[in-house]
Amino acid sequence: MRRILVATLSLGMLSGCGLMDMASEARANLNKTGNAVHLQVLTVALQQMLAPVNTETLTPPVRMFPYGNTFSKEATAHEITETFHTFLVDVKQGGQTEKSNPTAEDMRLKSRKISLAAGGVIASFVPHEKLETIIEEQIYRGGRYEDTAYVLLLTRYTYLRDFFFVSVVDKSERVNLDSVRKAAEYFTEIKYIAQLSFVDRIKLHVPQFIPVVNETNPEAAENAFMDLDITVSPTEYKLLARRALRRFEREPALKDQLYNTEEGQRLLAIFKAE
Amino acid sequence: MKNIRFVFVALIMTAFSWGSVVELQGTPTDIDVSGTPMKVFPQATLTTPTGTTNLKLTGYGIRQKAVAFVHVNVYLATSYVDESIALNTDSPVDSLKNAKGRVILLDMLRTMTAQDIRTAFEEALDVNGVDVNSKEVQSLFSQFTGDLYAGDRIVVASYPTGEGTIETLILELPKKTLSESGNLLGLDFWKIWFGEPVDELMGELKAKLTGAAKP
Repeated sequence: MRRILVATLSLGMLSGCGLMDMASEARANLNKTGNAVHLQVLTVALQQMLAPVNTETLTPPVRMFPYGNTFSKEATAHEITETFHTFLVDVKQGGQTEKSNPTAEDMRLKSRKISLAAGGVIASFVPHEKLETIIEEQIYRGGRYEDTAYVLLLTRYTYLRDFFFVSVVDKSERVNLDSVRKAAEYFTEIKYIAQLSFVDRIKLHVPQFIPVVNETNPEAAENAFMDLDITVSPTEYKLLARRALRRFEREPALKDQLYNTEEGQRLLAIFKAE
Repeated sequence: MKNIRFVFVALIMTAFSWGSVVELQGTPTDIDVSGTPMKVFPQATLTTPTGTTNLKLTGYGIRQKAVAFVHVNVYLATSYVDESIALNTDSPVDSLKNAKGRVILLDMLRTMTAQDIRTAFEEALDVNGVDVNSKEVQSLFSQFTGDLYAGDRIVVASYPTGEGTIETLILELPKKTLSESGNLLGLDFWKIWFGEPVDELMGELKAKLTGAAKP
């Protein structure tokens, strides 16, 4: 009887171990599959962003937007930072020519602009929680990509202001309450960056990136390039807020909704807060 | 019949060109803006109800706008001011106060909607503390409609009416002319280009228009 009991227990334990092994193997396989799918989503998104058909127009790079959105939603904060860093290296690398008067082709201007646009698109679509993680890991805790994180913030600020906010406030024929909600969302992100304590460090310097325009001597200007220097103005958001309010108040029906409903008042307060 | 129609159209077009309050004079300088040949005249005259004012060229330059990381050419601005005025490059708005006439030509280098121009003007006025909701400014902007194409010209002219500090501001658009008078209205609009620059690139244009920097 005792032998039978021991044998049964041993069998049970053995089969239990087998079940556990199978379960952990299945979990590992699932993780592997999940990871493969994750990487595939990121790869396809990047491939599509950089596909020639999607890089024809860069101001704004609208065709990159859907893929940039997918990438930023799927990628982890660390993956976003690393990918952005790679693009930034390409942007700053410039031409390899030894010529004293390099041409735009020598400077690889087009491909560097594509890299900057791709980085900008990714930065614009990063969900706010992931952005906070990037700031925490790279800036507050001094990560390997601290410099990159500042540029990521700068490109996010610039794109949200010049393409997203503008598309609602300046480029829309009609503005309704839903447009105001969207504008408020972009505005909140813009203001968030402008009010960061380290805003003076949020800047971008790219040597020889902008072709020079010279009205009186176009031939001399043909192969001349300026540096690109961009910073974030900590007070510019106030101008943007006033611009938005002027636009909203131009629509009588919307003005009524904004001033006479609870949600309207709440949205107005976002733009009116200092 | 075809000839009559042609003459009729030509007459209308001539009437439009005659309608301008500004006449450009002197031997022009040929310039090139991204492959587009353009001319800059050294003098101009501004015709107002009270007479004609001789104007001199103070400067010209391209208004560039930074859109994300790209600089786009928006318009070529050419500024003329009453020839008796010595423009102070440090505080040009102050020296423009007593001008009997001011003209800025804006030659469009890209297509823009009236809404785009309006927004840009409003923002620059706002930066300079001008009340963009004032009756006069709103009256002008509400009539500012239609798209502007590369090659179109906007003539902005202003002059004192002779009644205190009231000034008339004229905006000649390709298809219509807007006019409004108000307290220092012209000077307020001149702050767009000569006042506090709305951005760094406008600051560069300001330096060119005042003659502080070469075009």
